[in-house]
Amino acid sequence: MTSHRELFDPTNLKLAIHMRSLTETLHLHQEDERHYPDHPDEAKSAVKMADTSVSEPFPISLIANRYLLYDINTITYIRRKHCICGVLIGGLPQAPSQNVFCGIPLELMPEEARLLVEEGHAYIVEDVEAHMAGFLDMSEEERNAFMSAVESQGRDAAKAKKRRAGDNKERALKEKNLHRLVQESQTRQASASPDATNTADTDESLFAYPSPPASPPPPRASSTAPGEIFGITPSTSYPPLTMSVRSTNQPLPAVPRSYPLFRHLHSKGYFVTPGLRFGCQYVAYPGDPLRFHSHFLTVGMDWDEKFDLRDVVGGGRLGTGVKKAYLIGGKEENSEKADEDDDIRAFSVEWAYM
Amino acid sequence: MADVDEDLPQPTESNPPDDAEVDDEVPDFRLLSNFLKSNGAPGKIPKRGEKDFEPHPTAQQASTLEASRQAMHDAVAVTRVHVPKNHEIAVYEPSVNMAYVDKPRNTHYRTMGKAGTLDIRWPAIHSKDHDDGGSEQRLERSEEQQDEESRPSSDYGVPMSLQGAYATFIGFEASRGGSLTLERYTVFAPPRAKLGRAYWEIPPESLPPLELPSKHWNSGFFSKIWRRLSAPEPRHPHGRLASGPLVTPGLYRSYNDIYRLLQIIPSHDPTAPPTLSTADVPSEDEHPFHITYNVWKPNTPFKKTAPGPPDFYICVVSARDTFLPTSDQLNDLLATVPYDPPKMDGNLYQKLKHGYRNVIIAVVDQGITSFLRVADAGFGVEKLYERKPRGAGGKRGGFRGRGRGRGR
Repeated sequence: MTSHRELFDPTNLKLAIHMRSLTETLHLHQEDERHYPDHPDEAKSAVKMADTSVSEPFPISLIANRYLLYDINTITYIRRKHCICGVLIGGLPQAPSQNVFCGIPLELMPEEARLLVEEGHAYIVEDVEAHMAGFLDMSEEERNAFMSAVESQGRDAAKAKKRRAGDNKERALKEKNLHRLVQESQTRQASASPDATNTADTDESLFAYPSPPASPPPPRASSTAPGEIFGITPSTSYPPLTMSVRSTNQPLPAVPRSYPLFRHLHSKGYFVTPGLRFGCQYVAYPGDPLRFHSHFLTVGMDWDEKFDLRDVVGGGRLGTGVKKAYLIGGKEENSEKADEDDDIRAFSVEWAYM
Repeated sequence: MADVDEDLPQPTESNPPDDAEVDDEVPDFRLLSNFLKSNGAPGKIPKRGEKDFEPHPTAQQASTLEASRQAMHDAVAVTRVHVPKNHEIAVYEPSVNMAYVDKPRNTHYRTMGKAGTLDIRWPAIHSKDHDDGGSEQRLERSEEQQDEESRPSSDYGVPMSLQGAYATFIGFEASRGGSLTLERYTVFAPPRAKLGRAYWEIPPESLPPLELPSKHWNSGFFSKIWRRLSAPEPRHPHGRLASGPLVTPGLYRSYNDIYRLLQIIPSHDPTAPPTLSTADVPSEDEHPFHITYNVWKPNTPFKKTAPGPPDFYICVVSARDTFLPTSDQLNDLLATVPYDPPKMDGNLYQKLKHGYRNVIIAVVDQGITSFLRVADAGFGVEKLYERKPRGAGGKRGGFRGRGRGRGR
């Protein structure tokens, strides 16, 4: 695909259109799950993966005609399991002054939402109604129960932060080869503690809490815990809202006519993201966009739709310029194939140098 | 334009192109920790990471992917907390779909969006029970308690989740006729967070302004007069065009006079006062192109009371709900921003690029924003025959790629 680039001669440009069926040329693996057991750092991630499992169907929030996800487990889950990335549009609380890395919420294209709903993985919840009903009519008992849950979460957060700060100090000291100081502080503390608790406290604030043998963290944490409760702003409203609120009467998300092609690409294991940046409808990635460059700039059309030849030239040149192919596809009408997904035909266009 | 990419070195197998930076909106979250370690030093932009072109069934690739995914999961899973020292509580008021803060701390609002958090609470008392006086009562109550050192947190309602905040301030807003859409918020939030830019929203009623301060046109007007004085208009242009010849017999002392006579095609004059193509103010649906935000650069001293002229005008549209603007729509959009001519002594191409008015259109495609700068370029103003020839020698700037005859 790329070797003929070396024979580049600008006087002899030709537009080559490769026609091929996607099914033949694309052999993609959705091997996310399959590969894990082979990895050395598997033990760690396996533990974590356990808590990212999500019970289906999960809710997709609908606000002002947009489809959003707020639960990180669901976000990770659909990425692994259903090859759907969406777009993170929120900020990251731990890194507020940058916009390269984004956070919750995750915006889903209507196509993505529809696919998940059609396949029974998700259902749509009208979020405004659910919130107005759930929070404004909250009973006193519910409120108290939730507040105490939030409070204990806030206490945990405060503890965790303290612990992290301690770890950081310790690590920083170690990095600077200042073990000695840590040890000194420990011995000093040990000798000082019988006399007065006051001096021990100041030592603690100057240095990390001592290494394991001296005193285990829990008692220390509990001794400082009472005053410290962080306020918490949860990402999702579940709880206190319950997921059992199923609005089955929500219509399927309205999708553009490129939906059949989107669905087709997705069924072949492609990760599909919005493509306006490249002047197309979708950008198709051969695997998780976290790891891979995209292969296709995609435009979905009706089978008999007329379009400018210029679009092909423009798309082909633009795509080739960024090492991608331009792909046009649509649903073949009156085809005799039984399976609906097989009705899709796609053509990839690449600007070739001959 | 088409020629530009051919002038770039072509990628080969041995020399893969370095296009990671143009390629992807999806950064590698493993690099976030590096960025965090640098404590987000101002001006430092986190790296996005390198990627593969093809999936291959190696354990190495899969484990790298897994590490990236895990890093992303961990980064995004961080809960929003409010440290007691800076804990600011706001209460949501459904009747106006806004949140109010009882005891604002001044410093907080100077840095809002850049650093600092707000804990929004649902109202503890349902406004139904206190039909009209609900919010006032609560306000009174809070005033009474203001002297107390710490107000029991149970006095507030439960915390509003991030999900709740989107549902109310964006979802509920639509049904209340508010103007905040998810697209607008998506454009507003990231640069604001990154640069601490000050935004000032224009109320929709004022758009489009039918009369703009006359001072904007002064320069255009005088320059026109000046041009009229210095370059006499050809007499009887209509008769000349109808019967010819274009260049009437006579004595010409410079080629410029002849060129001026040959100039018969009318062209847009960007220095003239703008006219709106539609007389009445159209509705939002028919006319999606209008200024959504005025933006000031972060490093300029900014006072809310006297903000000065904005640095940018941003028009936010949704990619899926909006078609390319028509000529009329663009004209009306540009008519609403002030006259901002290029430096007259500048390079020709810079002048054309800068234009006489400019607007940034932010097109949001399902959460991904593209910014386009649209300028009212003065092609008719830049007379090629009036250009002074440059000194001999040296390459003329900006001529690369002109014409078809590239020597190679």
